[in-house]
Amino acid sequence: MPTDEARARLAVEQTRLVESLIRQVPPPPGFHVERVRLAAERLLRKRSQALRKSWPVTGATLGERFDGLFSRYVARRPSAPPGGPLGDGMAFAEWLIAHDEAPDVIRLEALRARLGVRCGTGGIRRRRGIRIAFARRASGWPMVMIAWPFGGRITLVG
Amino acid sequence: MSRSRPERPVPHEFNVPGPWSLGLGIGWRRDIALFIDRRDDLGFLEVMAEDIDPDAPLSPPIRRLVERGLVAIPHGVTLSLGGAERPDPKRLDRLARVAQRLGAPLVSEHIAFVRSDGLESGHLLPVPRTREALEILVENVRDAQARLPVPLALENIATLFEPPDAEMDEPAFIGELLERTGALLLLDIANVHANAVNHGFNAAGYLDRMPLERIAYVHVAGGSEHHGVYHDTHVHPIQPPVLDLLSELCRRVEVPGILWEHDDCFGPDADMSEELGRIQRAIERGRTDREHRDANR
Repeated sequence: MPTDEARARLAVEQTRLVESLIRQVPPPPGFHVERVRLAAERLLRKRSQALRKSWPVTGATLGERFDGLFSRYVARRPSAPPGGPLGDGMAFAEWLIAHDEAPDVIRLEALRARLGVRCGTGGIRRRRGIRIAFARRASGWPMVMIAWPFGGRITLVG
Repeated sequence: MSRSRPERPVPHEFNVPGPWSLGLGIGWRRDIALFIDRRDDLGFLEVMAEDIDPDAPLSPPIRRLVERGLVAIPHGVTLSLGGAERPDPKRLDRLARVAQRLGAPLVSEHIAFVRSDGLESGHLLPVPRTREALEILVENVRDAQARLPVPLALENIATLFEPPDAEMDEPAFIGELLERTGALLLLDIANVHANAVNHGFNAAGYLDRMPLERIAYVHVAGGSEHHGVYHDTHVHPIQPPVLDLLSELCRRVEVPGILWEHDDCFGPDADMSEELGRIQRAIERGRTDREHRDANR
């Protein structure tokens, strides 16, 4: 049976390694510095590619500005939120909205995603039945999206 | 005379799927749903456990395949069994319900940790191969097994770096873990090659020391090599040494099944079929050699 102290020791080491990977700081002693840096780089690229793939409108709309904005978002949110690329994209959309960088198409893509799923610990959950979600347009006007059960019809008001 | 109490199951008791009982498999991805549906020679699938909502009906393409009799195995990436914290019961219960929803005979996860102290790494990270970390891993795996309705298979991961101060090599570490928990082995043959290249060991020698009799199924995937570092990308074609290693494995045992993991840049159906063909030929080469050897014995 492992002791609590053993778990605590392992936790310290693991936290330092995760920190070094997601904040791109040097790893704990004994780790291969260059290889950890390489892994951190690939990790970031994987995260950004996965997000672009599952949020095609956001990716296409931001175009060449995507990488710069994504880096700023990641600096604020080094540890990805739950829900994989879907959850990451929802948080990215919120960040873009808060920084006044989200045109209406991006807001609509996020609103549409929120109608379909919720992201929580352990994975995604599908929303069912009649679903309603609210957001604001870039102009500040409110909009409401409603998803009807059966047939997948969606109504946008505003 | 009192009857003796029924014996408690010994910890190393395990039931592996029979030889070639799963057959050829593929990791289910939405982009290739149609390709998978059209193949009539597949025996099993893996679905990303975190993408299945256990309380919602299965998505139609997956449901169709399950109804056709394909075995669907939930493959988890977020349990963090190698972590310092005990596995989250909520995550385990969710995985258990996903397995039930799919009617899966087993579930699979990784010998890795993915988070620490609430920080998500977004990656499968190597556990230090020390006695102390092994004790924790054993306890975590037992926690998981206690909450899962079906056997658990554990996968060897590919790493670019290793934690310092290892007290044993990977086959010894994994061997003892499986022996003590009764967990099955999901052997990723590309990851064996990856680590052999990246950490400088002999891949065939590694196979010699692994508990191959515990294999639930095998992963094979594409990757690329840059400046002497192998990257397990799941995007590139399967590298010839990986196929050779697969033959090497099939020379030793008849495995229950082999699953191709391919995550992106799918290309035309013909290319994907060719990739499955390369896997099948590699298996066949190893199998033929084994049968010759057995016949001449």
